[in-house]
Amino acid sequence: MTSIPEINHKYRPRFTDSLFYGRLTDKDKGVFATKAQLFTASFMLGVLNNLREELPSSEANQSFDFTNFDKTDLDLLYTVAVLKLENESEEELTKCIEEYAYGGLSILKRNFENNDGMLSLRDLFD
Amino acid sequence: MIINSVRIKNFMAFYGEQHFNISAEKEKNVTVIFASNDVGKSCFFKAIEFVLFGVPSSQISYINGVALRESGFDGIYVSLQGKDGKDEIEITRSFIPKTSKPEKSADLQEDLSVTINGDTDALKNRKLTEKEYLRTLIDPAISMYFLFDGEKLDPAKFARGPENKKAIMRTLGLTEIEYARDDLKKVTKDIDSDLTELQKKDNKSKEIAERKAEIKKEVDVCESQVEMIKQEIEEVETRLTKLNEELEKHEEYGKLMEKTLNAKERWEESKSHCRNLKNNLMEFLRAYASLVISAKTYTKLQQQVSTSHDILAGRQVEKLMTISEFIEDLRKEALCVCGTELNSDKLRSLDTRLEKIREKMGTGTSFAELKIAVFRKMRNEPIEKGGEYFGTYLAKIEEIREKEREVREREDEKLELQKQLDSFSVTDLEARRHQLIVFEEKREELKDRKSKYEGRIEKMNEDLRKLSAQLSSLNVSKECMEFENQLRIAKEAESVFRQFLDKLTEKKREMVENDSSSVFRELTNRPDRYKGLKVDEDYKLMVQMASDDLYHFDASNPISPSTGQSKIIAMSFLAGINRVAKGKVPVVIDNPVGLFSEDHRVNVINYLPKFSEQVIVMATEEDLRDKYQKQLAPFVDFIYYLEDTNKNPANIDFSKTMIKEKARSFD
Repeated sequence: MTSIPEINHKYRPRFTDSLFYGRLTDKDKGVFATKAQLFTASFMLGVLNNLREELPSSEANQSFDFTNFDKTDLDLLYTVAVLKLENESEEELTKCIEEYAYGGLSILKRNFENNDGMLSLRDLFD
Repeated sequence: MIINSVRIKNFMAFYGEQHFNISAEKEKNVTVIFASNDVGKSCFFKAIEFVLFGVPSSQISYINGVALRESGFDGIYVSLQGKDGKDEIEITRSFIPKTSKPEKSADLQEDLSVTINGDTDALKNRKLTEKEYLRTLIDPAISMYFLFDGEKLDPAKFARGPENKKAIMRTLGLTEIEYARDDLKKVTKDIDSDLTELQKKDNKSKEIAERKAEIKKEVDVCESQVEMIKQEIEEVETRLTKLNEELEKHEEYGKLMEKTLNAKERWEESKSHCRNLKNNLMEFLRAYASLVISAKTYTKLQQQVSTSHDILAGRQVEKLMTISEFIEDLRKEALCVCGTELNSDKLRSLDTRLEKIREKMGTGTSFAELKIAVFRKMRNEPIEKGGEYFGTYLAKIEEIREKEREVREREDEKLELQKQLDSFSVTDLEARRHQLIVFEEKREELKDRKSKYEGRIEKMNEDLRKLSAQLSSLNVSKECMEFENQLRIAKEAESVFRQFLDKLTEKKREMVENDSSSVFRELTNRPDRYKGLKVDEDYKLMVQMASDDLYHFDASNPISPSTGQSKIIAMSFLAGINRVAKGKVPVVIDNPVGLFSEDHRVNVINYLPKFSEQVIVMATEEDLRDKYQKQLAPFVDFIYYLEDTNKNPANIDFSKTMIKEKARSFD
């Protein structure tokens, strides 16, 4: 029977570039309140621009526990990720999330570079 | 003096010979000359000054640039024809070229001729030079009371310091009386000295007379000292007046500094506001950026999904999923929706139904359909909120952009003012302030010295009187008695003259004060605020407020009447002096209504014909428009319209101003 995987806490989505993450979630100067929010935004932009990229294995990646996300973020993350799943496995769900998040990171970085270190939502969607 | 006509040839903007008839009728005493800016209004004004007073230097700059470059250029002149009492007069001042192509002032010869009743030698017979004669018509020192630019009137300049007092005294005819008083004083002194010489001859009186002579000598020394000090005081006063004028720039500097500080404050205020908006945006992003990005992404995907072929299947699955979820929830309840108890039979029935639904979902649904079904089950609320926040974000960005634009504008304004401020030399002004203090101290010291000398003189004069009395008792010669008699008469006359001069000076001051006040009340638009004008013994002008407080025109006075009101005050003062002036002189006003408000304009136009027996007015047609023309029409005899026939002069001295039209009425 065909089924859609649920979030499994056994799998943890990984992320790279902790420096960028640190800068953008800085308590005083960061545009995002938490790393999970930044990760969610990055994932969404990856999906929107169809940028699914495998994480380079050479980098020491950090990972998220799904409990790091607030409910709305997690609902959106899950709902959108489901749409992009290639198979029914729970591992694919986590992999899909982290790979789109990695793909979207370059969009965020470019946006920051083009806007003097500020986030322009208008540039992202207009 | 009355002017009947003025001929101007190649003078400044005027090209060729231009002939102006000037209104001189009692009922129609106003001549109007219309010209746009930079066409020749002020040049007409300067032409009158030129013919009466000449020019100080750089004669070449008074020549029309076009005429100067033409072959056959034969010079320039301004000629004035009119009446002085019963005399018909013609005054012509010209610059005649010494070379065929004059290039500098030295290449010009100035010529001044005065013809009286057709006689070119009349002045020789009167033993007067041309210059002396012109001074009897109008003294250059008082010309500012008759020839003035309405836009540049400044009450502080017209009524301040001893220089102005002298000029006003001359205008009012008091200077001649001062001269007569001084002459009487000299006669008294001469008689006294002759008497002393006579008394010395008498042996008995010789000793006393010698003593008297010594004292007189000393008195002379003291008096000459007093004269020198007086002169020094005058010089110091003149210097103080100039320093005060220069220090007014300091006032301007202060005002500019205040404006710059205000501009800086406004700039910083905008900057701070902008910073707050940016911080606020940052907070907003921290709270909602992730949601906005997610919601916007979701919406875009939703649009894509809506157009996909899986949508119908997705909707079906979605429906089944909703039913299955409903049954699952119902199983957890104690009662059914119909209100009956959910017993084991009913639960079994629900499980069977659930199984069937799951089967239907599992067999008839593709993976893609399931994915869409899950995707579509996302709650609407966060998506809508995210969309709303994006709108808020755009509004915030627009507000920041607007604020940034304001910051830039305010910064430009601040920089412009800063630039103006930098052009002031503060050190220079500070040095002048210091000089002012030094000169004020010096004036006080000089006054102190003068007063000491005057005290000594008084004491010595007392001694002299006593010695004279002794001599009189000793010496009874007839000749001495005659001299003593003459001396007494001369002294009495001198005293009478002095009293007369004092009274007349006070009387004229009062007249100027009353007349200026009455004109001011006629002209001002705020008779409720101002009671009148006051003129002190030094002819210093003050404004009497309705509260009876006196307002002094002083650079340090922070409250001042408006620019327009100040000009009305100055104009009223000039009118007052004109009314009291000894000889009647035509009044020539450049821009009489410039810079005035509507109500002031109406009042000034009403007063114009009353300014003098003859009034020449220069204005633009925009300033003296229809409404005012109608008001002035009954008093106007000649109207001239000037035009610069050189439409595109490369330089102002390349103008070719000519009379375009002459009229007797405004129609």
